[in-house]
Amino acid sequence: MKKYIPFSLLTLVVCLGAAVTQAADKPSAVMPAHHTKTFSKYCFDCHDSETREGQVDLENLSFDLGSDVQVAERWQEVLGALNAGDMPPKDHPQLRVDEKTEFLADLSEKLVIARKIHGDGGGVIKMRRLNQREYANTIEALLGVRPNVDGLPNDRAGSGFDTAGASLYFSSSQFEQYLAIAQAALEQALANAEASPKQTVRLEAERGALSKEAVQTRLDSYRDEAKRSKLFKSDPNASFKELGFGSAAKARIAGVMANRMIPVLEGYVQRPEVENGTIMWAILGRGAFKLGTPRIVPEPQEEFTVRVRVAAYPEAPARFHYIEFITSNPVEKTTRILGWRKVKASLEEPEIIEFPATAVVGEPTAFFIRTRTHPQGSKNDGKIYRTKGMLHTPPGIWLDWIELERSGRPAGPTSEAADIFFPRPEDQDEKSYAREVIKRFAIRAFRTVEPTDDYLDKLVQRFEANRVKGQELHESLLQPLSIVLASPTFLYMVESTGNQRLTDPELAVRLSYFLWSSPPDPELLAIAKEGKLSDPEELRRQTSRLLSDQRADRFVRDFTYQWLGMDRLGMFPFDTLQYPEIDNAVMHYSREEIYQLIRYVLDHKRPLKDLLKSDYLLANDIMADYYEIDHVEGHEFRKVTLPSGSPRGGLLSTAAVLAMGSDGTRSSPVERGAWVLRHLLNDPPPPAPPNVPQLDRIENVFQPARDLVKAHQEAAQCTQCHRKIDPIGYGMENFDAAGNWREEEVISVRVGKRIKTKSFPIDSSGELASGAKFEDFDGLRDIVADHVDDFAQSFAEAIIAYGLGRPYGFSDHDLAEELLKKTKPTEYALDQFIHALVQTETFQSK
Amino acid sequence: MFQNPFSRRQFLASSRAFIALPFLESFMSGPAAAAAVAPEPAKRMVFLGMGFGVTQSTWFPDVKTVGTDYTLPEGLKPLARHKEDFTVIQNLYHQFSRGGHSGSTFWLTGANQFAVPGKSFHNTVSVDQVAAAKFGLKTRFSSLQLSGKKLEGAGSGHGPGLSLAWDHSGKPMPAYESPNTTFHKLFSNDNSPLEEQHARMAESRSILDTVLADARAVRRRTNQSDHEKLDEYLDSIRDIETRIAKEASWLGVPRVRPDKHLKEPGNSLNGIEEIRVMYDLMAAALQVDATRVMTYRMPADTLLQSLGASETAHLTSHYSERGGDRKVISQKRDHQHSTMLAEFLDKLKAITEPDGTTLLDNSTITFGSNINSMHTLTNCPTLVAGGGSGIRQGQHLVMENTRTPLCNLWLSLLQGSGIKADSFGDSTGIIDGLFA
Repeated sequence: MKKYIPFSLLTLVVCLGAAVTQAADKPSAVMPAHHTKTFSKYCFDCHDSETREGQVDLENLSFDLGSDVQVAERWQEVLGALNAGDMPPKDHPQLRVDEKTEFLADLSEKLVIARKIHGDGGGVIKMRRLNQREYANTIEALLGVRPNVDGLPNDRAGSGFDTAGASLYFSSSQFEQYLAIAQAALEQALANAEASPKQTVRLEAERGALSKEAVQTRLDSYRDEAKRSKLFKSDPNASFKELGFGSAAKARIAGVMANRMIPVLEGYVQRPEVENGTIMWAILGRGAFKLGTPRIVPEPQEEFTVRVRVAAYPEAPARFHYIEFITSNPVEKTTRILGWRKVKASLEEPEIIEFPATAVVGEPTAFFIRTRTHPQGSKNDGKIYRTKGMLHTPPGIWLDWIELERSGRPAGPTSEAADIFFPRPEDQDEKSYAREVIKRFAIRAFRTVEPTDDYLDKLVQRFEANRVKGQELHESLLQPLSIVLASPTFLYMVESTGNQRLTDPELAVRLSYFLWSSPPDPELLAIAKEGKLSDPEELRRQTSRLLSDQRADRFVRDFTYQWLGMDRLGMFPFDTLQYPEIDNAVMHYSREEIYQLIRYVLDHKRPLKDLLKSDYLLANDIMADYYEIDHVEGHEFRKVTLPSGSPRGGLLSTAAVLAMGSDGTRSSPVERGAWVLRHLLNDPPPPAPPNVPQLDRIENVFQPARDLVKAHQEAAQCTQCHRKIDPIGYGMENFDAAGNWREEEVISVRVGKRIKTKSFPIDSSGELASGAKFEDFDGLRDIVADHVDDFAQSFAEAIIAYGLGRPYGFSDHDLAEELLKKTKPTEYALDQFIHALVQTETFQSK
Repeated sequence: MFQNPFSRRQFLASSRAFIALPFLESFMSGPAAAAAVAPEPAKRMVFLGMGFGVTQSTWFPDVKTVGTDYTLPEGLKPLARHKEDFTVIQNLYHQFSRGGHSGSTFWLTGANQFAVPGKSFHNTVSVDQVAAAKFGLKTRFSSLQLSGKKLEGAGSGHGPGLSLAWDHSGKPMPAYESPNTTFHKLFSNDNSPLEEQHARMAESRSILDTVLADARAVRRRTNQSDHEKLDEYLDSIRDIETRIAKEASWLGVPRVRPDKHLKEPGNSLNGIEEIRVMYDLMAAALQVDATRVMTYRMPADTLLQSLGASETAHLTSHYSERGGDRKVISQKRDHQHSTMLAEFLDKLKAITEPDGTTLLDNSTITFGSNINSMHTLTNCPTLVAGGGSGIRQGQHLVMENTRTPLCNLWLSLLQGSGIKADSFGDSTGIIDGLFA
């Protein structure tokens, strides 16, 4: 073994020392020099320049991980070998725990930085394809028809934002899909159909399977069963077969069940309100309540209203006062939830609730109503109540009737497509007309770029070929128009390179896709064509206008979804026996709450800090029920001021964030802590390394989550990150997996066939890696709120990446600085970030 | 009636046994048949990816028992009747793989996701596509990609991608996502007159020609770094051109069903049923020589649902070796996979080639994932069956180097099947033990 530090390494360390001081403002990916000792002590036996066992020469390995991709890869191998416990070999001296912890902590941090350095594209904005949602929005803006894009790649599935041009690929199946989608959308938009009349169909709830008579029949059969079962039990010679049972056991049990059901059904048929209506409940033998409208095929531009006449039973739990509206495709057997409405009226004075329903044109559709449901794969209320020994759910809503109103379609094409087939001037021949139609459409579709003559000629040839085949004039144009919508100038954001600065129309396109994920509207385009958009004042005015438009919701939703990693929400279905309250409605609106909060902070120019801590939240009736806040009526979200002392207010204690930090059964301090570091404190932990021996999820053990997590401190490869992550999670332990406040953690453990439970008081105190201590969740939230500068940095990086369409790199450092400097005086108002970014030269340049 | 060595009961136990087993030869038609009939049967390759890995303690054979004399662990027991026809290999891995939720993205490629600066995702050609470049020349489909529905993403354990296959520029290749679609692509005929079919192809070509005119304009308007993106578009146009050219050479050659009992599958198959029918269709596709290279990215969540599990594939992958519901389900899944794979091998053995060998004798069937179990990416579960690559089957191989590139196996399979390749991915050589 060599006892000295080789000369080559010494010089390297000295040189690097100099480099570090020079680039002090940018994070460095240089491993601290003192780790050379660790190397020489434990590794050089085999991996020095002479021995090079396994072709691994650590002696000549550069300590600057940012210098070269190969160097970073080699260090990644070192990390992997240490994490997996492969190196040093078992029969060699092992690193002390403190040495290993420190070494791994530095190495994993430097690797994250190195990855960023090597991932830095140097600020190049690549030409990018419209992503899946932009494509759908763009077709809709052009044609007034929302296409079905399920078959296109889901561009949000990768890492980073779905606006990153370099990562948006194009596969061979896409072209044909674009053609087919465009053809279908054009046919719908341009169909020259007659208007269809308004239609209303009403179903009375007391008819058919839900009628009193049906329940009466069921009741009679239970009475009969009870009688036969009694006979069987009273007569030792009775034959179960002759009495109509499959077995003796069945003959006995049938009576028990029947005798429990009889009073329930007797109670039902005696209720006066079931004479002319029905009760929306799940009842044994009849299943969950569900009632649908007849099947229809929606026509273009048609609107739908589902109307119900209903009343609420006041004694039922709040969840049972809601109607869930769904649409289903009876052919494909798919369903989609459209929304929820609360019923408030009394049985004496029922109310009529109207629900605007949406449907996909041309797809077989039936609308349904039912009570609130849980996600597929988890137990629903009928089963939840069965486990409580109840044969039905509490009666929550009485239904008189359900009605579907179809608006009927207006005559002719959609308003967006109305000008495509402009009237042909008398002196214009067919071919010139076709060329003009195609050209005007292409300019619109290409976002003001003029198609070339060569391209137009070929499109006109397609038109002529179709004409020869016997197609009508307009019909013959559908194909060339679809081809336009599958051509590169439409599918890609083509920004010319003649000058580095974008032209005004190009700037308009970049701006509108940034904030609307769709093409510029006529006003923005007109201003751009006049050359006024690059004027800073006008640009500011237009940015504000776009932000206040409804379409900016797309930015809020899609940016936020990706920025805050919300794909995790819903990845783990909840155990509904344990958390019956967290159902589809709560999952949906807890996500919505985050979007509404961001929109509120944006619209009202609130300080960014509100997202970390505030005395209000955004809620509708369902979320207010969930958070146990009174006096919030209606499905619309609004700002609700919280009582003092409430743990809510700020992202940290939203149901969505807390639920994401759980596995559907138990809270996960690790996931919560990692989320806070990654998204709020701008201190992302390295990705969970693969190949670390899993600390067995200690199933079936009575231990609070906090103690389970302590297992991470057993091994150096875990401690180095988890000492930073876990304490944050401890501070959030007063919230259970579903985000409800709790004072103690209740753990259920299966012992044989029985479930035993134990409770542990919550200890939510902790200390961050920085040394900041907190006593409870409030204390943690205050510390996090003090880090608003870090949060602002994280937001700046995200908005740069999203808005420019490339990953944030170290070369964007100055840009981020500029944004932060400009927005700090406004307490980091979100709209100011957007203005600041849009006003930069980077945003306005290719 | 049954001349094959396995018992009649076993045969009937498989869900949809073929009633009649005509010679493969009788299906040879089209350009392949027009050529002189090769004396040697063609080679085939099938890759089966199951996403999240296996149950560590009960799927891998005991490392202390290697060679032909090893005991099948619980998870592989349903394959017992085929023990002589497959080999389990341990200690293979991809050095660049880091995604504990991506069992399929790099499984057949071995690529480094971050190899290209400025890109958050990069991949390279998959081994099946290298094989398809040669094996696909004589069949109607160069290769066939099958997948469960909507598996992209972390939840299923497969990771990014549209199938297991990645084309020669590392772009994801789309898959048929339902048995019904697969059936129609393989066996439904276009009954319109030939002239009409020719005219449609001409029309498709003219459409491609049209968009190329616009692509030229884009090239003029943009700079070098943008051309790279435009090239992806052009590549896809070229792919379609190639496909049309291929279709043209097959015009008028009917798609044949191997037997009349192979019916159109229903639209709503899920889980076990869906996988079984896909296996049937794969066997049928090989039988009629529609393709010689296939990949199948198998459904994860729906398989578990049909096994009665309430948790997702992801949660199941976080089972504890100490026991519990998750481990039970994880083991059930392994068992089910082995059962279905065994049925597939039954079918391949029951199909006879013109020279008297069986389809399995000429095929290489690989079952596995990039994920071992939980989030472990070393010792990728790997099972290779069939005689297509000249492997000495019936072995349990434990590589001495616990970090042996999985690409060494891919290279071995390519070379063993007669494809000239010096290297594949990060391969350092072939696995000698396979051929010893």
